[in-house]
Amino acid sequence: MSGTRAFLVRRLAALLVVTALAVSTLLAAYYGVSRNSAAVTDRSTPAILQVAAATEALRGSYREAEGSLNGSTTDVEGLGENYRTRLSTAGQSLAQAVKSTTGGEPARRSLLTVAGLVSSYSDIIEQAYVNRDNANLRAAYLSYARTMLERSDGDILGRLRAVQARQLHVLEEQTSFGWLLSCAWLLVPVLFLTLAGLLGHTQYFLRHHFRRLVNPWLATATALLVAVVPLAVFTYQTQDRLESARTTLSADDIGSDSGGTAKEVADTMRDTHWRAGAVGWIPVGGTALAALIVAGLQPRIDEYRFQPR
Amino acid sequence: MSAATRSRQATAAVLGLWLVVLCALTAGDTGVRQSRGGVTVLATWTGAEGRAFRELLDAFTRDHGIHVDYQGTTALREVLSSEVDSGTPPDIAVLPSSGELAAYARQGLLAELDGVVPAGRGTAYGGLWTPRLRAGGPVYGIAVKADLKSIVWFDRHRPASTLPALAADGRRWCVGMGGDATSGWPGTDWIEDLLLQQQGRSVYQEWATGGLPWTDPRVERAWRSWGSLFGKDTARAALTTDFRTAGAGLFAPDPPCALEHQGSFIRGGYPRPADADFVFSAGLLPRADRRSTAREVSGDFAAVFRDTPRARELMRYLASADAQRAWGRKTAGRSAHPFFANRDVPLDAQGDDAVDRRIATALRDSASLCLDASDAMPTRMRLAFQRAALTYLSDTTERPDGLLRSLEKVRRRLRGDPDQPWLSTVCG
Repeated sequence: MSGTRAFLVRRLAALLVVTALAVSTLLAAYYGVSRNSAAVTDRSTPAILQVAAATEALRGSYREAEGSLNGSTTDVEGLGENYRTRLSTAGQSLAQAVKSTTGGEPARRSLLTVAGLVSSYSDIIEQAYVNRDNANLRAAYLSYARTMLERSDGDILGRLRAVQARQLHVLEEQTSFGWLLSCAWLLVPVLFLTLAGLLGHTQYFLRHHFRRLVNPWLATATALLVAVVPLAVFTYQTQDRLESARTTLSADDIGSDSGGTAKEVADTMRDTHWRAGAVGWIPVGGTALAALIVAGLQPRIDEYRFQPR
Repeated sequence: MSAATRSRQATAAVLGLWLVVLCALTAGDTGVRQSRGGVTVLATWTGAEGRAFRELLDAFTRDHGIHVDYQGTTALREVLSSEVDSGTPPDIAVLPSSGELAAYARQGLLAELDGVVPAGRGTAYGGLWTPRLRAGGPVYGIAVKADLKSIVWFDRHRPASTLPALAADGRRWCVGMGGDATSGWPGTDWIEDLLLQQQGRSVYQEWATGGLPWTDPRVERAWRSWGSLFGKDTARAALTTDFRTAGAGLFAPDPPCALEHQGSFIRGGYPRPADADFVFSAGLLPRADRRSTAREVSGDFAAVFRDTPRARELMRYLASADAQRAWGRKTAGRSAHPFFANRDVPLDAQGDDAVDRRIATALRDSASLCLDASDAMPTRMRLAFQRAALTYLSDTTERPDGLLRSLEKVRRRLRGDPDQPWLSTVCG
């Protein structure tokens, strides 16, 4: 076999290996960030907001119940419409949170426990209402309800805080770049530059040995490599938005306006979805790249096939 | 080998590598660690008691390779019933209420545990601690922890001879009724113990098993003894005081109160547990039979709701003397010390000092132990009892007759309810 043919075979293999590595790394690196945008929007955001809404509604329910019981309209208003609304909001948020929590099975069980505690809590508040004419008993039942909400250990709000901390930890993992992604994004330029260098050198080699100005297949393959730049920009933008969403969801007062916070996060994350869709084009681009390389080099290799040894 | 063949091989190798990488990425993306399968446990222990129990469960996980997910809640009744109703009960629940446990057993929701604790004479657990729906029927619960209730706590620096005088002064009792969803239960303990110490075990048992009307003069006498003991201010303060903090006053520099009628578990919550000592309540409660040796006790009964080999393994572990000895050791030197109904657990594993050992001895050797009556009653009766105790305490100048008539109505209704069974016996 001639030296030129051997070189071309080795080069084809090298180009295909580097292509496979570069495209796989790009796929992993891009997917690693873009899949998080869906996880944050579809799972973490509702889970965190539901727990925050339940917390806020329960706090509010106690304030409302206390206000009603110490007011002068209990005889006609009972515990009041605001109390019932808050309690109902808390119940619905908890039911949703049980289904959608990102904290795993321990968080789900903890939320079920909270749902049970809230049922007892509302029962105790009702007892305060039933005994509203007995100042001692009314005060006693209100104090039990408050203790159930805010005792230092095993209370309702403490359990919700623990679940929320777990969910925020998951969010932190979803939105932080992490060392694996950092490594992948360091490798991407190295591999793509290596591929571009190899393609350039192959073009140069072919020009000298086959006296053709340009191999159009390899030139197209080289041009295709530029597509990595918008993908890197998309990734940077997606990551930026993920961090912005995390900041929004980590604020203390999100429970007081869950709807507003949900909208804010949705607005932040809106443009990330079509970008995430680009992940499907990476294997297609990689296959095209490999096909162009084979199409550019295989005819040159074949030219040597029937030459005498 | 021709160059064309080599070229094809190289291409095949590259594609193979690519596939491997893609597979690795896909596998890595599943993200969720596969569950090894475990056991879920629901009980009432939170705080220091909860931590000690978790440590015991961790030891079980280390030894048996079975993960345990523990939830501790004071609203056990609500949580358990909602989980049972939704078809997702915990594998094991530990209930302080033997009455509630009997209701679940009656509904056929509990696994038979005869294989876990062998039946028959001479076993580690007495009949009181391994309840059955009928004599000779299957065991459906095992008391994995026990407490002694007919006792009165005081600061050991106080001469014992001064206690009767202090007990006669209602202002010197530390009392707290607050207890979250079950607020009022310390009041039911008071009334139960008064009835037991005044009337003896047979009247107590008849009442606790639903055979004696609430309006019976002996029951009313116990209520009135309780109400007349406290002054208005003590009663009022008791309503808004949490049972977990009530006894702190025993050890204050200028103690606002000197005695606390509370179960053996409370010692763990005292600021200086080592300074706490107790006497049996028969010696101090008003109009009690001073020679009474009847003791009210409570148990935490473990039951299996989902009969899996793993759940049975954990049950066997929790009921074993070895695990309970380890449980005792884990809490040695700490505040919340557990006691056990298992006769095989040595006394020295149940306490650090003479006070703990006296409690353990009473639990093991007392000739007459009676389960907490309200815990043994059907749930509806128990809750009504707790609320009636609170209402009575809010104004002890009112006679309890009205409340007792209401409680009696509840008892009559429950007598015919097969889903809310009364235990047939509460004293052993």
